[in-house]
Order: sequence, then structure tokens, then C-alpha cells
Amino acid sequence: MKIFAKTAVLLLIVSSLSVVSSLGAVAAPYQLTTVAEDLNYPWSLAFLPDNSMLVTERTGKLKQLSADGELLAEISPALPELYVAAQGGLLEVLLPAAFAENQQLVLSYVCGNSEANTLCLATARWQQNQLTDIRVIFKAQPYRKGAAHYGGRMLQLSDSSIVLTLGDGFDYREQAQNPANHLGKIVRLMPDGSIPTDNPFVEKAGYAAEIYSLGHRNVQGIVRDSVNQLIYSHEHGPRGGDELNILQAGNNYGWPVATRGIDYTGARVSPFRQYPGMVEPIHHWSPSIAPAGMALYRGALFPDWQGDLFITALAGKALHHLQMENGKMVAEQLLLTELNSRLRDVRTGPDGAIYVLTDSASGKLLRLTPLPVPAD
Amino acid sequence: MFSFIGKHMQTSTEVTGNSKLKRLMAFGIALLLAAALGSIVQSQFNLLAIAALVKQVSFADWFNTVWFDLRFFTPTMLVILAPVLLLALVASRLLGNIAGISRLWLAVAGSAVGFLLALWAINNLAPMPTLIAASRSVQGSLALALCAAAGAAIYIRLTRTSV
Repeated sequence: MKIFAKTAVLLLIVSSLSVVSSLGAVAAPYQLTTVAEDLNYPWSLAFLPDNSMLVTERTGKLKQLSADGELLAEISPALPELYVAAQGGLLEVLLPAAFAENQQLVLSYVCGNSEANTLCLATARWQQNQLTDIRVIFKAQPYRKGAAHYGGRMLQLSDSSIVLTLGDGFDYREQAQNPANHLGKIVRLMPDGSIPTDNPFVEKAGYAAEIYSLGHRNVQGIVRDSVNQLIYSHEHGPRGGDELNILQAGNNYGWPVATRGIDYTGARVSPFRQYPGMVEPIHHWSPSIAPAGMALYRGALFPDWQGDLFITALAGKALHHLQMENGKMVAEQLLLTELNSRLRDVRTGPDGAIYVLTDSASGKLLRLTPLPVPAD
Repeated sequence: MFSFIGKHMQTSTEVTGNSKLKRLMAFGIALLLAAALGSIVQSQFNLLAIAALVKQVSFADWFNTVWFDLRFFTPTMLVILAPVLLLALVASRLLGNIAGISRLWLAVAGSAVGFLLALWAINNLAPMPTLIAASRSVQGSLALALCAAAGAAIYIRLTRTSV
């Protein structure tokens, strides 16, 4: 991997040229730097306590990069039954709060084969640039055919439980309303894979005890706003109907009964845009942007962006900046459109910069920082 | 005599031209009807799947969905069906002449099998596992294939009466 010791500034982006605003908001200027490149379909990013980074590649590798993008380690974790195809492979890496003490991280990945596969969750120990003690702690049920709609994003809550997003498997969309399995659900687990006793359906007959919420299509973004005590998630709609939701335990988010999207063929998925008992999104995108990652900004470098959401879009090829106020979106801006790149993931770094992964066989890790203040 | 031959040739050309035009129109009508039928059929599969998840789907919602699909799904069906129907009709004409088998049954069977093959090819090439949701089940695939077969039957019927 080519290293950029003195990271080259690609673009200086001034708001009026780079921003499309639905409500007339103006973006703060920023500069964009390429931190690393030649990443093979990078999927997620996590920051280690020493400010280096772990990047997963969907094709199966885990890379450790220094803060300036130097490749420190590259491994192919021996994940049991790892299945790499289409949307499947190694997905997210999560560093739980206890990582500093036990060096244990969590990986989501697709396991199985072309005829029968599912989303698996494994814990592993990161020691001396190696992964050891890999243990599978969860397998979404049932296995399905085809390599689409796995979800795979994770969020650790303050009680240390982990919320894991899942997908409907594409061909099994009606199963998102079946409470007995994990298709089209978000589940909540403890870091050892056990089921929290306060999960919403833990004692309800006919319900999988791991379920946190149901009625999802393919959830690929989830963040917690600790200030406002909110969890945001977004999910892919079909043709139109991508959604941003406020996630609450026990809620049904409607798919495929209530949707603003239609099938890729032009056919209606459902007659209903809303349905009683099913939660409506706080924002939706039609046509689809294919949201694939999400960060809530609480860094120090962009004071105006505190509490705002940043969402990477694959089909939309933009970084969506959603200005939020008390759980409501008040403005939306499109950033990085000039890259014309599918964007996979976005994170806030410990330095307060915003980090973005592009989605391609030669993916890049980009860093957004404020424009330098000109010297007088 | 020359004028007779010239007049005869002109009439023959007109007949051939009219015949081609009628066949083209018959193909267009058969294609459109089969695609519309396919749209209506796939709507029923999708609506039945949703109806199983909710208390009730009203007649108005049902009708509106079918109407929506007729306008927006039918073009997809047309794109898939047109080459299938064309190939099946050409093949049935050639095979019918050679083997002496009823062209109607050859065209009907060819269209149905051709449509199933087209679905298989599309689902293997398209990024999503199954393009047409109704074809996720064997029943749905066969029902759509029957619509393709109906298109072939309509064409044969129209061209038999018109030529």
C-alpha cells in the first residue's frame, strides 16, 4: 500500500461549489486528504487506543493502519465458514469499551456457502498485530440462499450490550415481519453472545429472544446520540424508500408492509406507505441513495457540526450531512459529490476529523479536516 | 401482357406487405396482452404475500396496486417477453414446417420454457438474487411462464384468422 507521509490534499472544497442543500444551509469549508489507498472493498473502520486504525476489507482481510496511513499489519482472520460473495464477506469490526482492558474485538461477517449462508458474529483478541482466540458468538437464523442483504453494522450501548443490524436476505422480505427468526431484524446481545434479560421479546412466545426491533430491509448504519439518548439507524429501501429511523426497542419499522419504495422492476412491494403499529422514518430518500454507513459527529474540529449525522451513500455517491436538532433533521447537505465515488463508511476519528471509506477494489481512506486558517 | 404482369406483381407485393404488417400488429398485440397479463398475475402474488402480514387489504388498495403495476411493471415484462416470444414464434414456425407438429403447441411450449430460461438467466446476471418477486416461488414462475405462453397462443390465433 502506498503511504502518504505528507498526505496530499486532493481538493479544497468551498461550500458553494460542493454543497447541495435542501434547506439552504451552507457547509463549512473543509479539506480532503487521502490517508490510504489500495484498500480492497473496505467496509468498516475502527480506531485503536493508540490512534492507529483497523480497516476491514469485505474480501476477507483486516488491516491496521497508522494515523498517517502506513500499513502496520495485514491479516486474513481465520473466521469459521467465512463466505465472500456479492455483498457477503468480512463486514464490520467493533472495538467494545472494554477493549483497552481485554483487547477483545467483535467482527461481523457472512458465514456459510452459496446455498446456505447467514450473518455471523465472532469475538477475537487483538494482540501483537494478530487475531487470536476467535469465537463465534452468534449466527443469525435461518440460513438463506443468495448473497444479499446481511446488515452487519454494530453499536455498543452504555450497558455494554451490542446491537447488531441484520438484513432480510432480499428474497425473504416477508420474513422481516416474522418474529420467530432473525431475517430483517435488529438484535441485541451481550459481548459473550448471551441474550440480555431485558430484551423486548425475551419472554414472549413465538418471538426470537434476541430481537430488538423488526421490520427492517437492510440496515447498514447505526449510531447512538448519547446527549439526546437516541439511537439512529438507516436502511436501504428498494427503488426509493431508503429510511432514517429513530430506533426503539420492540418497535416494528414496517418492511415490507409499509414502504415508500417500489421494486426494481417497477412493481409495488406493498399498497401501504404507512400502516398502524408500524413506525415511520424521520427521513427518507427517494430515489434511493443506498446508505451504507453513519457517524454522529461529536469531535472538536468542526464546532458547527456537533450532533449532526453523516451518512455515506453508495448509489448516491455522496456524504450526506444531516443537521439534527432534538431528533429531527433540519437540513441536509451533500458533500464529496465531486469524487463521484461510492462511499461505504464514515467515522469520527479521535482527532476530531471525519474519516470516509470509498467502495471499490481500490478503495481509499479519506480524512476531512477544516481548512487551515490563513495567516495574516 | 406486360401491364398484366406489372399489375399482378404490384398486387402480390401489397398482399405480402399487408401480411407482414398484420403479423407485426398481431405480435404487438400478443406481446402487450401477455405482458399486461403477467403484470396482473405478479401483482396477485405480491398482494397475497402482503395480505398474509396484515389484517386486511381493501379492494381499493388491491385495485390501485394492480393498476400501478400495469403502468410501471408492464415495461419490464415487455423487455423480457419480447425476445422470448419472438424466438419462440420463429422456432415454432421452423420446427413446425420440419417436424409437422402443431405450431400452436410448439409456440406455447417454447414461450413458456423460454420465459423460464430468461428468468433463470436474469437472476444469475442481475445483482439481486431474484429480479421479479413473484418468481421467487415455483408457482409464481410457472404462472408468469403461462402468461408468456398465452402471448404465443394469442399471436397464433390472430395470424390464423387474419391471413
